[in-house]
Amino acid sequence: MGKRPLAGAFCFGFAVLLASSTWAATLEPGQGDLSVNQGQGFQPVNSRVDAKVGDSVMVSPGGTATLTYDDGCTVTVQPGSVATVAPLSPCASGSYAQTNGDGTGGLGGLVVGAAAAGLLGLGIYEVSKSPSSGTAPASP
Amino acid sequence: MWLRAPALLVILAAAAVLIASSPRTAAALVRITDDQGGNIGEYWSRFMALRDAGDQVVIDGACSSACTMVLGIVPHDRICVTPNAVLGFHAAYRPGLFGLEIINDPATRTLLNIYPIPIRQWIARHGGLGFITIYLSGPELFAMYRQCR
Repeated sequence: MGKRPLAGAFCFGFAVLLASSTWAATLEPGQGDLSVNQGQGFQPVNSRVDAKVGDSVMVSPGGTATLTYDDGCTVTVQPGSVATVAPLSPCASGSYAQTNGDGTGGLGGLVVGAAAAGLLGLGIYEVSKSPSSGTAPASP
Repeated sequence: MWLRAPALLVILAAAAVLIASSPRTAAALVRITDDQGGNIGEYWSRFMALRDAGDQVVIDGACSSACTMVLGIVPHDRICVTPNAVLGFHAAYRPGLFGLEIINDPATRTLLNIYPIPIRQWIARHGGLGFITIYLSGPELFAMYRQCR
């Protein structure tokens, strides 16, 4: 019995920790020189490293590198540029989560698209199956 | 000896004036009554600002989609819910061709990662985040969040 409050407190603490955690990414070198500044100046990187929010990534001209965020979102660091690890995955920050008032989330657009595709398909089917007057067999 | 009490009063008064005139504003109370969500990045910034300001959040109506990110960004003890509170969860999407909304898997994973564990477990029990919105309210919600007085 006494373990339940402790477990609850642990779960809550864990949840708070998770909620307050910052987003992280993995940096994968490609071609050219790659450096990372994790608060102590730019250091050369030759293999895959974990990057934290706010870290700066610098790629030499002609070089490449890939940042993969925890949610799987992949960002290519352009040659000769400096990128900063964002607190929110770029895939997420550019996306939407909006209810359309019908309780279907983003289903509305899908239904409209499916209906349009269905109508188009039906139209093509009807046109293709209708006999052309020029080729119809003459009745005896 | 007689001068000590007035001097203390002067110091206290000066301190009170300093505190009153300091730029720090008091934490506000934010009431959510009908929020259907929107751009995830914008909601992230908005709720991070609420968190950093120490604001209290009252959910007193519909809070759907990106609005539910408040659960994972603002600390649990600064959120309360009323009997009107209804939380709606669904997948994140990005605009596609011809206005079609396409589920964005990384963004949906981000949403899930933001939510506290009890919310994630509830979502998992209800089939996960998809096109259809799933709603959390009433006793199930009160079991997870403090009811507002």
